[in-house]
Amino acid sequence: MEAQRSDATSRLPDVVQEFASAVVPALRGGDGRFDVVGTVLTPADDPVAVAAVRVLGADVLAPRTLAGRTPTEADLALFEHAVRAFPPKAGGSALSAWSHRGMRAALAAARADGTARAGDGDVPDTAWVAELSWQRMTHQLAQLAALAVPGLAPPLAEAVAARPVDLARGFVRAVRRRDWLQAAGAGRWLAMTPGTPESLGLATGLDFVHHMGGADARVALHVQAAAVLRSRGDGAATPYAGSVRA
Amino acid sequence: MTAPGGGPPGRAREPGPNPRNGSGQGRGNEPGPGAERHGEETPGPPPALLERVSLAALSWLRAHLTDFRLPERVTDPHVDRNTTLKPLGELAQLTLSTLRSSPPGSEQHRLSREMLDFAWRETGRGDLFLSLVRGEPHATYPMELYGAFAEAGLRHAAFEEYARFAVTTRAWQLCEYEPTRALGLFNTLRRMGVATHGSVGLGGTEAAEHAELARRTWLGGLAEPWAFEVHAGYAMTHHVFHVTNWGEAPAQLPADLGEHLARWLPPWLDGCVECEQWDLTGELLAVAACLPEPYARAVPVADAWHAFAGAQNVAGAVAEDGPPPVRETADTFLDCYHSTLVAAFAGVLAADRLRTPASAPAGTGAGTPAGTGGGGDPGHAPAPAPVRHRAAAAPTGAGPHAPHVTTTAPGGGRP
Repeated sequence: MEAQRSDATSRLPDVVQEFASAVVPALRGGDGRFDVVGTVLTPADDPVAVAAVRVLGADVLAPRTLAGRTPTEADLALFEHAVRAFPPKAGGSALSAWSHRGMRAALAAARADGTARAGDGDVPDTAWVAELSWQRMTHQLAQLAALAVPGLAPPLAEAVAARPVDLARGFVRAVRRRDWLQAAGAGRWLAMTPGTPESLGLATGLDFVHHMGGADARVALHVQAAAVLRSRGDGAATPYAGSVRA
Repeated sequence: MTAPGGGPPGRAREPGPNPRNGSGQGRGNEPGPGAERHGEETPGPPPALLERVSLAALSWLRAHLTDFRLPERVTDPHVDRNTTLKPLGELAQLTLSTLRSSPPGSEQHRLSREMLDFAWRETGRGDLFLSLVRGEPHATYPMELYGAFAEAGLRHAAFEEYARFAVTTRAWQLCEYEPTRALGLFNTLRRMGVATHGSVGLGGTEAAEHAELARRTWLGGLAEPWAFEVHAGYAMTHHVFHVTNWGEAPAQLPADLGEHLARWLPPWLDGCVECEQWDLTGELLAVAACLPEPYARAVPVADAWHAFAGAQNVAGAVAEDGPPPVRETADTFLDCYHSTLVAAFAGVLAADRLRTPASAPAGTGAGTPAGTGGGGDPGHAPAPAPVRHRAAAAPTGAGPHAPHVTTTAPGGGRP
């Protein structure tokens, strides 16, 4: 049993990469459907697959929420399984609560037929966005980059929109530290946040992050998501038609 | 001699994505231009900290004054200028700045005066410059070094006679330097009241040329802030020092650059602090103190100042990078003199900005070559005590014989 567990743990990063790699091309547009389960080798009933979906969170359905493509039933089933298998802990962190909420919102959006629906349950805390130092705030937000989808987490996006300069500073810091995943996550938030300073050179910066860190599929995913967001125009947090509010 | 102001080679240690969130950690608000929030905490460092840092730094330098002495045959071509003339030139420029910006009667003021006078005596009251140009008549660095002394009212007539001739040659003005050092040459000419390219009068043409030159730099062209690294960092700091005449005229920095720096200095500082690159940290802090209003007061630098102060040892020394020396060795002077000079410079400038009421806001930064901060007696006082002056609107009409010449001394970076 223990050997199984440690084996699963050691496989998790690779399986996360595998799933992220399946999502990235689906964000680039193309034909109507996407199929993560069908693309990866790891079977959907493998517990590590469920865990990997939990790690990537709402992003497993980003081809739907960001790029308007249709998920397969198998993808939805696996996603639902992950939501159930890793419920939010009572007294858990705001980060964890937001991550869960994002998953439920993404699932609702994917299952819905394009109509918005208010998320259920209490809205997790966003005060930390205003209160943390710009370094800490960026670090935390980058871990919630899967929620950088217009309409998916409006209270969070609103809190972020109050500090674009600080988040931009966090992006610069992450790049300097060669923390490509943090940089990509921060850059993705900036891509949908009005007030992001022009002088940052966000588009070029994200290209740079992709050159340096794109071997990590999670980095590539955030960079691609940011490209989609920027193509919507001016980083404005325009809710995606058919999105569901978290 | 290599670029005065080239900055130390440094060990360019890259910060890493480790969980250390040291500097600037914790809850805090970040007020400032471009920032959207108003915090209860001030972005600047406590005055007492600045006082302590600058006084300790100047004291250490005073205690090591003999290490700045020039070797016997310093003008010989084989003598390395970077370990001899350059440190002395930096001492002169930075103690001129600290003299100018520290309150008269303060210990910092007294130490600055003493060290500036020492530096002048080391040059044989300027004889050195004449010797240098006899050997190297087309070099620019003698004029660059001389500028700080001249600005302090310490003059050598025979050298100036040659210098005024030399700087009007096409060759001198076409000397090929990277843009930031070219800005330094511009300041040198400005200090001497000499027009560029032999054109008549000062004003429009020079201003446009200067602005054009300034835009063709890493800072002036607004390079992406995430591309900051050590080489670019030192180019940027010296751009600011040359354009503001080492903090004497903050309003000469264009407002858009002031805003740009106020916005991006915090992550640059964060990175330098994390890597313990104290020399560059200190220069960035000095840059913050050179910004035009309202940016100098608004840029959040408190955390970086606290970290920087922590890098200074009890004797006042700051190492170029890493922890300060516990025990002084023969290497200590070269390892520490530059960063310690920078600590004094940044500390005095920052304290001065805190004391000074909001002065003229940033101009267009056309870099009017007629000179900034023309305050002070036009027929300068016989006792060479430079008058402290803030950047006033540049009076045009200062001609080639402007008594109040100001020159930028090469002052950046240890050899």
